[in-house]
Amino acid sequence: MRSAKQTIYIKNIGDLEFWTKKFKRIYFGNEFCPNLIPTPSELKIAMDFATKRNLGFSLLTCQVNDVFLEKTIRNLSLLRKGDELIINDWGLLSVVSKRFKNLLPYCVFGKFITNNINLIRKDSRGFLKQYGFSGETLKRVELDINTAIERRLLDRSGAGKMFRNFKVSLYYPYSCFAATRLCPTAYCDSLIKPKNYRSEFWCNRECQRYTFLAKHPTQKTRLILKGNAWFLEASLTPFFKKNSDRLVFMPTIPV
Amino acid sequence: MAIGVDNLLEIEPLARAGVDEFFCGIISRKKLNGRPNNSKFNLNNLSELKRAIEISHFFRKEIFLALNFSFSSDELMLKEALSLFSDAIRLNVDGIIFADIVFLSKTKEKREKIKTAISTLLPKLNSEAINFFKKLKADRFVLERQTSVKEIQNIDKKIKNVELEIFAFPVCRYVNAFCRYREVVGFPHFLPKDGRPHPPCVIPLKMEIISKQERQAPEQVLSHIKNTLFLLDSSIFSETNLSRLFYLSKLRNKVVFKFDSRGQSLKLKFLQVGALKDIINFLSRNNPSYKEYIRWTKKHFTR
Repeated sequence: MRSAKQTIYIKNIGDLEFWTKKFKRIYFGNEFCPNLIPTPSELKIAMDFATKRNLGFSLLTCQVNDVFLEKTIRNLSLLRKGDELIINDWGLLSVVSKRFKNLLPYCVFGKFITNNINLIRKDSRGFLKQYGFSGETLKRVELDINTAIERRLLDRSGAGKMFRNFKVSLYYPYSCFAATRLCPTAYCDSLIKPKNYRSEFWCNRECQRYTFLAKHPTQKTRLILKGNAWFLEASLTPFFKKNSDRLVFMPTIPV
Repeated sequence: MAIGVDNLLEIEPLARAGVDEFFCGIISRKKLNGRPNNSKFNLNNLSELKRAIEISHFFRKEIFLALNFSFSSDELMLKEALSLFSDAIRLNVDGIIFADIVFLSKTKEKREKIKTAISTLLPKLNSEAINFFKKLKADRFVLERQTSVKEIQNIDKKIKNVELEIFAFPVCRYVNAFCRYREVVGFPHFLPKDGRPHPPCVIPLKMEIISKQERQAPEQVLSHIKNTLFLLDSSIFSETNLSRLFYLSKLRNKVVFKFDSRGQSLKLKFLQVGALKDIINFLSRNNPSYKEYIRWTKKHFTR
């Protein structure tokens, strides 16, 4: 049985106030929207916060186009030895394998890649080794709780083959079940909207002002829309508490 | 122009209507492509696949087999996919659509004679991602539905000698491979009667605002959200889609416009193919300005 390490998910520096002593690592950044990628100065503040308190540090990244890839790369150069990088984009994976070889042992594949169940297999390790990935990269899997539940059902082994083969970082209590790059929240409170706002990726960060709750008349599940992503709340079961390597607590909805 | 087929009888009329290539799935023991594993969306067996390849080649059209599913820890899926892959090559298929990185890697040496397409289920939003898959001997990239014209133009500038497959009418606004609405809310993705895509998310939800920092009247905000929530413009005649087709037809790399049409009726496929064929012909023959093009589409399609 593993004892899970407590970790906190900080989406922006304002959320650092939610940190308490029980959290031994900080996940910092944004996995959902490139418009919310932290600036280098924000990243430095979060890294200093972690250093002063002797905490582990993981930088979250999101799926990006060429423009935002450059912005993400600028942040990578600030990472120190031992800082983790959570990758959600194949292009970023490619850049890291070529230009940031020092980060290769500390890269972890994020939920947007692992939810796709691609890399949660033993044979994926051989593939990743070809690109120089080693260490934690080959051992750790980031999962939100709903994927973990689905995955456990898929394993059919009862005890959860995945939990035996990998170190699982389990995110709770919010679980993202759908995300889009064409944000429905963008310009939601502007009377005058720019042309093409529905097909481009501009906004005034309305997601930081609005959260929506949706409910289907015949279903009990409460669905939360924040920015470009849909979430539902899910609680940890004793199985996940016992078998996860890390529990990543989200104090607020992570957009 | 590429279109999905789900039965043999569709291939000849669509080839005659001007489709350049086809893609199809095949029913297997395990689900091996992104559609339900039944005859509504797939050919029934290998002998049908063989026949489909023969008919397509008779009309000098290419045909791709979709093995675009991300195989779970169930190793039997990968085994079956590898076996189907070998069978398809033996039958002279022109290309395979992939979505599993390990499957792609394991077949790298065996794909010399066929085209390799990377499905939307493996997201490629930037030129670096395309370079990554290019090293795995991929030559065609099915771009995500939400990729904007500017992003595609950017990729086109940076990457040479690839084929870009682009949805002619992108419908769903959620990231490919990352919508589990069905699992959460529990409605089927496809209408049982005609098998047409029917995302569960089109079912109206009761919405309310739960944040406190409102600047506008809540009704206005909610009305915006409801209007932009789920589906993109699916009509070919919407200005967004017409302008998309105009700019994307001018890319440097080869562009294949794709219809996500497996499971749809032949009538609908004909309508889509006909409209797109007209547009492509007009653009290539007349090299019009954007204004001329929009004027022509309004006149032509009203008629």
